[in-house]
Amino acid sequence: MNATGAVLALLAGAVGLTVAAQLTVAAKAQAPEAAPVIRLRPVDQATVRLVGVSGSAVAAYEGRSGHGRVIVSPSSRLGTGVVVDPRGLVVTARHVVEGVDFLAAIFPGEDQAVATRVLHIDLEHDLAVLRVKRDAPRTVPIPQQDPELMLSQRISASGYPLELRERYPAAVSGELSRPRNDGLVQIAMSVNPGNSGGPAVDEQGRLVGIVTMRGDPGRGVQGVAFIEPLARVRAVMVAAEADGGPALTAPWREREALFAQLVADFLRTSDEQPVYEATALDALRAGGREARTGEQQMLVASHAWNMHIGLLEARRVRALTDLEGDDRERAQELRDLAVRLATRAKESAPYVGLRYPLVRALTLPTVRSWVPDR
Amino acid sequence: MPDESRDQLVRPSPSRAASASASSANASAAPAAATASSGGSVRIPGWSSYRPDIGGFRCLVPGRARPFRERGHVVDGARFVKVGMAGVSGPAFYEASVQVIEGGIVGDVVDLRDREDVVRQRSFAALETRTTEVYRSPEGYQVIDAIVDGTLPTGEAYVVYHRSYRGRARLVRLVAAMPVAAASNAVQARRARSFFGSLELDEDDAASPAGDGTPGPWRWYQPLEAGFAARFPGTPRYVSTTFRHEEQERRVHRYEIEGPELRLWVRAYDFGERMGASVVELARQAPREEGFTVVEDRAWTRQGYGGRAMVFRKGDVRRLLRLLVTPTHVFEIFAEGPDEDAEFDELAFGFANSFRTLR
Repeated sequence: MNATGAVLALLAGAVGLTVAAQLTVAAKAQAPEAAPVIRLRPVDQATVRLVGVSGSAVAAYEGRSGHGRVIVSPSSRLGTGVVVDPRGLVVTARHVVEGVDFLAAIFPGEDQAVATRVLHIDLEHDLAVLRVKRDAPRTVPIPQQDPELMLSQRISASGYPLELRERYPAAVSGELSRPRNDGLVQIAMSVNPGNSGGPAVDEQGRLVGIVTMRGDPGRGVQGVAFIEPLARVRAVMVAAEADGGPALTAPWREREALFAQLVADFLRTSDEQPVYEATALDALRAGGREARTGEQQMLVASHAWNMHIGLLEARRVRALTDLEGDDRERAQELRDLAVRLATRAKESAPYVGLRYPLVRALTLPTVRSWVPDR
Repeated sequence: MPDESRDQLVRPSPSRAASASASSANASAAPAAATASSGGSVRIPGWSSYRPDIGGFRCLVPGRARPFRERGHVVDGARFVKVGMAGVSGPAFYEASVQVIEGGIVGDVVDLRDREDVVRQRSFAALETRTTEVYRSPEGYQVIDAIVDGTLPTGEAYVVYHRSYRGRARLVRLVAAMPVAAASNAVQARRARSFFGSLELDEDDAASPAGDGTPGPWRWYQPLEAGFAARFPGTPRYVSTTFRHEEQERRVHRYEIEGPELRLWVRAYDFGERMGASVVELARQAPREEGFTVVEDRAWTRQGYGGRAMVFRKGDVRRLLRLLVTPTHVFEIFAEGPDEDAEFDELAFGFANSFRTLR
């Protein structure tokens, strides 16, 4: 899989920094070898990775086993957010969350995904406020006064560009270039897909804005980033607090945490060659029991199907009938779960087929785990 | 070309005729051959009615037409089956077919482009696509129109008109090809129009045909042209109108259920660009002009898109509004019924909460 995927064009000559396609994922999930010896700044500690799913596609490929396979390739949204309030309020870029069926946050250095709700969307500017199911001791407070900015001043950003499996945010810095007519602030700084929604801070670590766009390399623009300024961030927070609706105060449901973890598992284990991870099975089984909406059912079905294919590939066999013992039982369980959930989704929410085409594949009379030779 | 002709091609059942004729359509021109004769049954002397043995549609074909059946494979190991009839009438040839997928894992309907080679097999030395247009019909099909300029080895220029209807599982396709001179001949043009106008699609493959808007059992409704899905208590009536926005005509799709003390409706505004907070003020304003007062007004989000949740009251009538702003569309989800009525509340919130944008 090629690395960066597409990015969302927002303005002429500028592109958003959400990774709107799959990122390169290592062939096998790997635990970090050691804790980093590099200390995180306060802003990095408050910078969270955001992962979302807005649908999925089905794709054919030739597996390591030599058999043709069809797997589910998630339409993912990967970006960054910054915790600005200990109640778990997070500011990000609007385009990071637009269109998602599922959203989750992952804190720096952690693997566990945290349930996340969209509280408020700024209709005018590329900003959104989220709430994560977790008290957040590390925050980057929003200054009540705009810091005095100066051209050529050093600005630093934190975020999660490119690689899905990296556990710590990446820092990048540059110079303040100029204020733009549209109110954005232009920074001479190299940011990448995945940086969208991340915090930009001054030399003292004070928040000065949210990274939302970069110059489009396809148009010859490089090393240019744009941030939504602090005044707009403050305004969207005020609006979110004022009328964030039930999402601001409603108690969390256990199901939200479960599906947050499933989203992260699905994205981590899905690529052109999906990974089988036995540790994800329990969450998958729970997801099968708890899935209510068509989207939830299809998330579980998609993940289960990929795990089924991943297991066959890990054992280098064509079909589950070629497996024995626990492996066979597990492959059968995953396949049955995928088919059962897809069937439920098709019956209860037929519209999901438009964004989750796996529905049709798994509800055909014959569901095969390999693509036959012609 | 008049917009209505496109919808008449689908030949909706009488119960849907009103909704179809009420719809205007896209602005750009459709193939001349796609202009249907208006009303009444279509007749062409010497032609007969044809229906494939695997179903899907019925239409007229030339008397000298011959049936054909093709099978093949697509990428994931699925088989496709194409059944149709092709024939010659004067200087023009016609083809009507239906394609379905059997087996496979991906299992999508065969794409139009995959089958263009069929046209090439008709001895054209060169083909060049002039126009292609894809739109959604209120009857629940994705409609693909294309005009292809073809050249015979002899150098004679042809015009090839395609029209495809893509449903849930089938792709129905009509093709008419004729020399350029014949395309401008009134008799040939009328014959081609009648051919396209004779198509009657099986309704079972339609994604979400519109209805008469009277209350009935709850069901998911997913109009392709407006890009959303919602559970309606019945099959909504469809009306399409236009409005002017920044010097351009834009479309509004409206889907409505109306009972004795209940109205539920969705309006989908096709702005084609991102709208800002000004649409919120417009949404607030319209009920006020009808005498409603604002009872509640707060932020609302759905699928990561932003909007407002509003409640209005006028006398003993309550109106709920959910407004959702996407990068290209604005959706309004309305429910109107008796105030202080728990049954209405349950129904209205169930309706509003079922809404999904599919853009």
